[in-house]
Amino acid sequence: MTTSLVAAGACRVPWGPAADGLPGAAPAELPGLTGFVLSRFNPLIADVVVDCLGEPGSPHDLTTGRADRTAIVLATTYGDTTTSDVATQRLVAGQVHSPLLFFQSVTTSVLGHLARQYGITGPISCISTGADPAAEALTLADLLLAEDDADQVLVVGVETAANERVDWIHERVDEQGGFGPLPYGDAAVALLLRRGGEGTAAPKSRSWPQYGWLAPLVQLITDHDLRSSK
Amino acid sequence: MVAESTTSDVVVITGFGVVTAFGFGADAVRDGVFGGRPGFVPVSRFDVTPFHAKKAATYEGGGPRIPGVPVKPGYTPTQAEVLYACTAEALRMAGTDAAGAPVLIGTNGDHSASRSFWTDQAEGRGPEDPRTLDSMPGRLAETLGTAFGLGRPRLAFVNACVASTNAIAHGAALIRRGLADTVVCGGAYLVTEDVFAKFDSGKALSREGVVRPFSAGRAGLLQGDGGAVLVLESARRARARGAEPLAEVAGWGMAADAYHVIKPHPRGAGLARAADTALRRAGLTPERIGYVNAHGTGTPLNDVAETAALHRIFGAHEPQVPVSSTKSSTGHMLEATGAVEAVITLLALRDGVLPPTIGFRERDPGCDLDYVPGEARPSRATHALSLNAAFGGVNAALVLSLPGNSRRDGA
Amino acid sequence: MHEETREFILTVVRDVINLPVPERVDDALPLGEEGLGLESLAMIELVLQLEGEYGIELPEEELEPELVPDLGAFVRAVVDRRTRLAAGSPAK
Repeated sequence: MTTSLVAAGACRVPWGPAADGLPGAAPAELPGLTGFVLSRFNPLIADVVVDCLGEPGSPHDLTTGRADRTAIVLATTYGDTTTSDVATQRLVAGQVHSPLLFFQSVTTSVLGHLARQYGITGPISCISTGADPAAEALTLADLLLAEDDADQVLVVGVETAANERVDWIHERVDEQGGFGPLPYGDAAVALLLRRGGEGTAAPKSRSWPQYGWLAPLVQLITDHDLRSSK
Repeated sequence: MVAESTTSDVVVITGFGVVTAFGFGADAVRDGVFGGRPGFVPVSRFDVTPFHAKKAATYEGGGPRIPGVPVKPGYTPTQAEVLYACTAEALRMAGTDAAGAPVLIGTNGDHSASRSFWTDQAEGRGPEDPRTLDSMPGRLAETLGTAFGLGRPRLAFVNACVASTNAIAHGAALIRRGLADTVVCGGAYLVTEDVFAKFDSGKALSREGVVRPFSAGRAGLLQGDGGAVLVLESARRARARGAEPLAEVAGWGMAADAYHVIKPHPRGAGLARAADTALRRAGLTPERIGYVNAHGTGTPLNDVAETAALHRIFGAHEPQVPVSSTKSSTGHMLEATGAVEAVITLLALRDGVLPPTIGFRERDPGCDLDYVPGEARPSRATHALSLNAAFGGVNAALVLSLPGNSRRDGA
Repeated sequence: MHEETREFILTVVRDVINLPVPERVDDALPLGEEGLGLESLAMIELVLQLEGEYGIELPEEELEPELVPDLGAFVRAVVDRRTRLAAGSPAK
């Protein structure tokens, strides 16, 4: 449950046949993100956030005049597995670590990059859970609004395509129950929440299984007829 | 702006469990951290030959043993083991089973098994180390909740070096809003090869094997083992069951720098704003703060930025407030650092002793505060501030108070 | 050797570090802000790549921004190390 208004939203799955017909299907391969390498995790977040908030500094920028009262909540189950596991695989192979993987191995780095672009100076929280990260992220955002830590909260849900480690783990934790489905591949959703409203339930979405646990957030976008694709 | 609430409940800490390189529990912290001892030893749990840095504050079996954690050469305690030991102790101290309490843990996952996983993959074996499951951060909170019959949500906070500070802040907010009456929160990080290698490649680690926060000639941080779990409760519930509050979580705040992907804001703008929010929430003016547990990583940029932030927070009062970085003793415990430092801050208030900044040599012109160098010092502080910061310019602050000293006490 | 070193540096900046390289690049282009935008970690990565490519060692203290402010100076420092290596004198 959220008692907040959904002011804007965007979702993104990669381009190509697998994404055809889905909300948020990218028309082309996502551009890289300056200074970030190797992993699609960071470019995916940047793309979906810019789509949701508008280009920084543009007339469509939804943080204009309230960047200092904007918070960010990022939710993910596995985080940036590419960065984490490529670094480990290189270690196994006896190679030198790349210092670039050092800073991008934590999710706050890409959020710091976006915060700088928009001038966002509110709280930045990042959570991981297997059990309904979408609902948890909305609850966390609600609490930030209720406690007056911010006037608007950017909620970002993100997951990249599972690698061998994630497959191995998910096969086993899935049996214990309670862990939601993963998206079929790379997927991200961004929603901008503001105070107000009388309770917008995060829907139990049966649509968009390709989005896995992110589907309820996609449903909020389509329900509200928000911008959902470039 | 965050306003002091008049209707909501006071948040208190009624129990904690803590692990540092000095061993298990508060007495290990008193002996090591307050005793002004550096915990750094040559790393033996993995081969450091390929790396520039050679030391970390790893737990080697000295001091009080961590229940359930084997001590054997080359063994890295798991985050799950450490969190279990800390939670058992926190619940015992608090005298509650915390049934139904949310579980909020600062961790980026336990990657001590990642190497064996990928080695098995590379060599064509089926990976079988069950530790690999705990490389998923959220699972650590999930299994901890299950083991103790705690409630939901069960979340991992993964925002790097503010993760467990964020977990405590979120737990306090849940209680203050009446959404929970008890919360189990904390964090864990045990030095692992993966993360050590990343910091080493970024040349963030001190090669002299010493951390010298705020000192001239400081040359970087070193990592340390750490874990802490705190039981937070509404003062009302603690009173109702006759539990003694150890301290109040009087205020908390978070803020971003909007400055750089890796560098802190040079004037510590975000850190100062996080502290302002925490103070406002606590209903305290800065001069009421008698001690600051700094983030104090010992890197050239952090310590100058943090000093600037402290000037901004304390203004004219600033020369009087003692500030120390206990990372000079414990090392940087990354996702666990906020929770362990909250415990250290709590002990400083309760024991009336300020832990020192060790490794301090000479004054740096950019760092001109009282850093409690060398030795612990007696104190009558009733309110203290604990600060943490992470990559991306993400900052967090907590205000802890001795029970009975906050403006809202007895509400 | 100068041109080749310079091309390798720009390739690493563009394709490995993923920073945009301006269309026109001259020797006066700063390495940091207002130039290639190489922050400390990106600079470490670039040095690792150069050391791996050419088998040289580039000591940090010789690459301080005061000593090596721009692309031209950086290329010269790398070429100097390569030349010494080729001449058989210790690269250290």
